[in-house]
Amino acid sequence: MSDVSNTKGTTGGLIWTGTVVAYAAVVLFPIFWMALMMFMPNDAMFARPTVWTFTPTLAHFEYVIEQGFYWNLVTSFLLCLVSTALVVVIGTPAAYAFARFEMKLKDDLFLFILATRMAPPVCLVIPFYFIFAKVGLLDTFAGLTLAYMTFNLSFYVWVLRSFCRDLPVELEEAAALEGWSRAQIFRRVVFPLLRNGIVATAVLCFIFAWNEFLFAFMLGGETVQTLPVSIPKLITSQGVRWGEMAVVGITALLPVLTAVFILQRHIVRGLTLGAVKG
Amino acid sequence: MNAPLKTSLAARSAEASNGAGLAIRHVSKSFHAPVLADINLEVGPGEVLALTGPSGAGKTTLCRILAGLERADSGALSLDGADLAAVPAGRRRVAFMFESYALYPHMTVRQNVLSPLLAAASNSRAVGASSHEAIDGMLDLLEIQRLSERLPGALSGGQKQRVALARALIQAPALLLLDEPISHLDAKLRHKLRGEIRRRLAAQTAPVLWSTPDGMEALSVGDRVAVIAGGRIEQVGTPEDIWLRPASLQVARLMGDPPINLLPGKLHAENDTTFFQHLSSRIALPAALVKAAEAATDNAVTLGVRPNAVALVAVDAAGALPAELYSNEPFGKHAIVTVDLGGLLLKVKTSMQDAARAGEQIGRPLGLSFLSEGLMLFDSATGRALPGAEAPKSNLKPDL
Repeated sequence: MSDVSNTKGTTGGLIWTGTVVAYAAVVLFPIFWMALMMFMPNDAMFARPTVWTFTPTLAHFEYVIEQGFYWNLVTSFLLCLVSTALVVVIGTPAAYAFARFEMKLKDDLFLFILATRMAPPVCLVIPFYFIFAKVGLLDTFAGLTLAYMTFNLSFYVWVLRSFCRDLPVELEEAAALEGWSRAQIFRRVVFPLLRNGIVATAVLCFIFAWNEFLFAFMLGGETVQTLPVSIPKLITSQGVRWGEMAVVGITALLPVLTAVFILQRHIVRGLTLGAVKG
Repeated sequence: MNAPLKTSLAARSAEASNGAGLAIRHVSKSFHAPVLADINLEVGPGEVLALTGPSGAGKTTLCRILAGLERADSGALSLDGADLAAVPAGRRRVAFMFESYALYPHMTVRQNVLSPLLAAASNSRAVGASSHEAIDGMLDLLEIQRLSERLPGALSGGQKQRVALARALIQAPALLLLDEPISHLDAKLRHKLRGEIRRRLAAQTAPVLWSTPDGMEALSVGDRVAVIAGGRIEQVGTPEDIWLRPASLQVARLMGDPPINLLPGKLHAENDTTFFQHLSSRIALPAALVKAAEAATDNAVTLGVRPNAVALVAVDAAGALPAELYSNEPFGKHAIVTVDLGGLLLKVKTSMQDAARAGEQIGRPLGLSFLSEGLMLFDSATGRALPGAEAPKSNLKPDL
């Protein structure tokens, strides 16, 4: 790789690097500014001309903790974790079945699964509300978990199916001929080779659930209040609490950033290459 | 083939008549179109049956049916006298070496080879020390011991092939299926491994089915050879049979490098001699072929002659066919001279000296002479060899 960039000439490389750095700076600046705001006294935030030096304060953190925002963080985290775990448990066999087995109306069924993802969420949230109100799932942890699974499951099955299709079927056939049972083949051969795909897709599902607002707002809101839903509480009658918003915003960003780093490592799927002669 | 091996094979075919070995009876299979039609084959214990045919002929499908990965539409399979079709794939004790090798990419070479033993040990986690010894022995034998901790992704094609073979052989299978085991390797490696595998197979007693699209490979590895085309068995026989007495044009075409020369023509009798006429070229049929020629439909026949049964002679030699030089390729140990016989290109496999005498000048007139013992007659209408139109025993061995 380094050879290639060297032969391209250092001038070209510099221009390219410069462009990328400039772009990253533009994109990252608001986040950087938000990170600064976490520690900025209120009067420094909107001072004109812009104040670059200030005495850092932890007042925003204190307020956020006093108001119990950590509870929203835990709620969000648990909700995303449980719904994503369920999606993996239910979706993995489903994706595998769609990729491998012959069944009646397979294409129609698959379209049906995809269709749940195609409809705008706002179309779904109203019937959801009525159904949940009827069966007593409104503002419950189980209800929101269920709601999140509806849109994440279809995405998960859709993406993982193509991972499953990329697995050479001969590997499973070879294992079957050796005398392994179907469950053993799944555990010994299919699962280890799908692991990267499962992790990558699950992380995406987790992020979707983490960022979700509409369902959490409509179907939850009081006892079960996720972090994105809690943020408007900072728009108070005394004005918008920008510093506190920055604290909550950055906190909300951290899991996503971590997830993306994990994703980056796992999305490299060199593993199945080489299973079949090239 | 050496003498002791021959004897043991004779003993094995005797066992086969007692129901030992593999028997395929009237097996048919179609997916959307028929793939296999009424296949009948027998493979004795320890015998290697080479299954050859063009790609799409049904070789892989037959292997998959035997392994239990596909179900035949009709027909019966038996292995050592027991009905094979009733046994689920996992319990057939079939070792299948896939064309793609199908090595587990997340397991090391050692784990790959261990996998069938683990499965057999009723999935108990503890595999005896004897298994590990067996694996060490097998890895040593195939000279892949030093690769044992590598992942398949880090192996070359030839190395993967050895690992796949080790995994197949370690199972002490009741039936060994090798689906194009060396087809995807380069020529040099193919030569080396062909002999090696042949040697390994001689030491075990399961029937072996070795499928390959390469006719010459089939002749060299099979105790017997079955030629399959369009889902039908065209011919089953010893390599010598297949080479000297191909049952059809199809079979004749598949074997040989360069391929056999085929001349369409007509038969006609003059006085007491039967002549084969292709355009202006006329050849007197040898006595052995005259009787066979009588069965030809409308006297339309195709004359087959292997490139090594054609000789370059002087233009004015008695009975020489007039041809022109088309190209001359020297290979060192022999040369392939292509000649133009009235618009039909024929390949002549000849010595370097004769080729040098033919020269390089394109269009130069040459005389051709067909060795009478190398001639084969086929009915042009049916493509079948004419009954009795067999080349007599000769020294025209396949030149590998």
